[in-house]
Amino acid sequence: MIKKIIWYTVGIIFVLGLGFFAYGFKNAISIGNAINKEPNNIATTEEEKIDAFEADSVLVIGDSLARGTGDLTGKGFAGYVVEGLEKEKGADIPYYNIAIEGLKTQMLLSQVKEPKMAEGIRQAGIILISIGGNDLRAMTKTQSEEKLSSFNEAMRIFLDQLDQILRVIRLENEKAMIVFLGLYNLDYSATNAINSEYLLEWNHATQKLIESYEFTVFTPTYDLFKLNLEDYISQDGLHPNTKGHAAIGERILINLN
Amino acid sequence: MEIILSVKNVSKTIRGKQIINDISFNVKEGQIYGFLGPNGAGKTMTIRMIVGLMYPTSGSIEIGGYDIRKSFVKAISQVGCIIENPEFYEYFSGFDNLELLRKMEPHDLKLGINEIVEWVGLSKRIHDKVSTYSLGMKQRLGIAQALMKKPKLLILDEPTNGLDPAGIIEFRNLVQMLSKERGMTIFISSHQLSEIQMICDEVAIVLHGKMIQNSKVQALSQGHKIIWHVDDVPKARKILREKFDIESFKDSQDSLYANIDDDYIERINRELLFSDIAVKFVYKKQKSLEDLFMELTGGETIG
Amino acid sequence: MKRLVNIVKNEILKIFYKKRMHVITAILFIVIILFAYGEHYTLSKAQERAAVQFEIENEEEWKNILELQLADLERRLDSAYIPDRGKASIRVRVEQIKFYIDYDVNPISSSVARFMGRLIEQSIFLFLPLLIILLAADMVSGEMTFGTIKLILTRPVKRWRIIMGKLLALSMLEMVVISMIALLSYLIASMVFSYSGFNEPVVTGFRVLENQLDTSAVRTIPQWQYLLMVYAIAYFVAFVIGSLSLMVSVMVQSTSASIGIMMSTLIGGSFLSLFISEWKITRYFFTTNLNLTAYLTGDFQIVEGLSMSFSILVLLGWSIGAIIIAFIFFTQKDILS
Repeated sequence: MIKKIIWYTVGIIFVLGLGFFAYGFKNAISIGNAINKEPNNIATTEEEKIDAFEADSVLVIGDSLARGTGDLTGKGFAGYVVEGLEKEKGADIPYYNIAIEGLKTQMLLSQVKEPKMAEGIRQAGIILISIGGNDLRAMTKTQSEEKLSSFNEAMRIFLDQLDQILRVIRLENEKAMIVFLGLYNLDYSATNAINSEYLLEWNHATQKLIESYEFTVFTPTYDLFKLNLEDYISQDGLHPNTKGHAAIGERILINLN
Repeated sequence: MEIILSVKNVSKTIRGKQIINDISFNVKEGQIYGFLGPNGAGKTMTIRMIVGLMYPTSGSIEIGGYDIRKSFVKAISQVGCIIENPEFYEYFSGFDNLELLRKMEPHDLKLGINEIVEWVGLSKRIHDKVSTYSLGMKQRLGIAQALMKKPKLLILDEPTNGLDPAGIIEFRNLVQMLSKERGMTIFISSHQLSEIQMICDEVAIVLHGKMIQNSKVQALSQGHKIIWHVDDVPKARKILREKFDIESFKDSQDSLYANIDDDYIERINRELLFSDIAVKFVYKKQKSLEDLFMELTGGETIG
Repeated sequence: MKRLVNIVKNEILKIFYKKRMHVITAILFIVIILFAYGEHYTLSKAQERAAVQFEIENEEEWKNILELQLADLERRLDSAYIPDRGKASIRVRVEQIKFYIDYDVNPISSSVARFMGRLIEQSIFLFLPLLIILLAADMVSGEMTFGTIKLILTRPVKRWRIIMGKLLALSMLEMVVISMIALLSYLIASMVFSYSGFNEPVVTGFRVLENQLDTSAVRTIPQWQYLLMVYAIAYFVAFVIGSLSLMVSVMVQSTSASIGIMMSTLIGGSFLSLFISEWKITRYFFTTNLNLTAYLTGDFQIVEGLSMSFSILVLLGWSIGAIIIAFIFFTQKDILS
């Protein structure tokens, strides 16, 4: 009797289990294998996204700052800009944020060069860009002896790539307002004077490049954070917090008006 | 009579060492066949090859005409066996053990577990766990599992190991009963000569992995031996060797024996007396398998 | 066929009557209770810490905990002492946390369902294999040790059927063990966590492209579906370990040798995963591929060329090889015991 119970219990568990697990295993493999798909599959998902662009939309590209990292609401400065514009206009404005955390200028350049990006750029009324912070941060970690030369080199490459990005955008869209966000400092103290100096130089050169194009705004943030760093920087000590993002958004709105 | 077990030129080499060397013998239907040899002579290994637990390096083994390697299932179907100690799943009851083994037999085979259990006298304890059994009970259970499928050939490896004298007698009766009443062929390995001599029809003797004799027990123990009880055994043996060219054997502390014709006895006795050897008594005795074994092995101790 | 079923039945009964399932259940019971307590404890501690640090007491608390982790990880990213390769996986984790924040998914609160998943994720590479070794390691060697192998090998059944019966019985019992884990963890977690959460969405489908966590394939699936996946994977791992244990069990004479060999291989082999990025051959070891669920949770060390299908193929190769060797060895073996 006990033997029968054992045998039938084991048998039933096995058969049912096989059924369930066959289904689970199939799903697991299909999801687990997504990891090693070819990159072009991602391109298609992005393409679909960009297909949906509408005329006079706001397009946000660049790094984590543009993405909105640090803002607990998740909107980011770009979100505040759009909100402000909607309030003024009294209607919804299509808004596309395709910024990627950790993005460097080189990667942004290849992103804007994607054929399907053209449509998104063409439809945009306003293009918000934040890029370069990751490039500069990578550079400032090098030793001080080589710093000057490596800084000059990094800046030269950055400016060259940014120039290309702007040219690609202008090729598709001559009239869109391009708002470029300047870099802020993470340490305004005297001990960081050398890095601060580089940062200012970087911002200055960037601004000069931006100004060489029509319908562009360079929105500085260096001054904005200088006196409010404690208040505006998030727990990670890197990205602006909700307040910081809101302040940047507000400043861009003023510039746009 | 038909040959039921045929072992042909079987050799076994393990890691370059030859353990079994060219063993051949035939067991005929209805026989009680003894397989005799001291411990370590290769008896168990030969039996393991017969029941398919080990594979011969060369040679072949047939049971009822089926090769144990090529038609294992057909060959082993005819065999019931107990190899060395009767070992069972200790965590099962005796009944469960038999049931488990029964399930491995072809399903058309009808086996009455209860009958066989009653027959071996285990009915009262059959639902207790084997771990609570005594050696004797395990041995009965071993017999039950071997006989359960009513085999043509019963193979018993050292069956009397660990049995008390009463158990040995009981066992002997059982074997003779199975042979007479059921017509079963029985193959017994043993290192105890008395066992084999008492119940076997035919015997194969194996030593150091080699067959040294294979014949009828009667034929083997034919002839007599003469035994002298004397006060100086070495001196007596010397006289026999030098004066009569007779090889004698030491039988005990104060006796020796020789395989000779009756005609010599008087002359030898006279010679011994002349040589100042005190002869207490002289007698004639039928030769036993043990004597044969001593002669064959040159005095290797057994039993 | 009928007799093969009988042999499978016999083997299952042997395991049960040996009280092997009792032992495994007892071990599971203790370990799951401890695990549940640990989960509960660390969670409440983390929440307390977060509450103190942020002076926040609203329901959005968990987001701050995430922010804290994020800040910590990003600080480590800036550290010169962490090699680039390590940074890659930190970066993946960072982006994953950001994703949780964006999608309002709370990764640190717990529910019954989440506990059941975590338990398997944590036990799949060591604890589960150890249980399976306990189950399988004496299936053949135990019969050698106690001499009962002679009983079953002198029945009119071909040897391959016997080892086949053992393999099938083992596969069925592995399923029972996995079901026991599921059942026990469900029962125990139900007592510890109030929220069952089987419909809660789970984020999965993380993938890595050029050392970046790519979230474009990330999707949410209901927790119950995720559980089905990880338990199915656990069964696969159990099967692989089971076949390896069976092989070792066939090859050695005693149970203790068999358990010893399997355990030391498993534990020793798991150290090899430390070298997996540098030392190419280690990725073909079974121990370095056991942590299959990590591919679903995105919790992996980034190594070029490693993927779920790669790991599954490697494990499958080991398992098939082990089964073949076990069959050949068992059918050709001289029984000396």
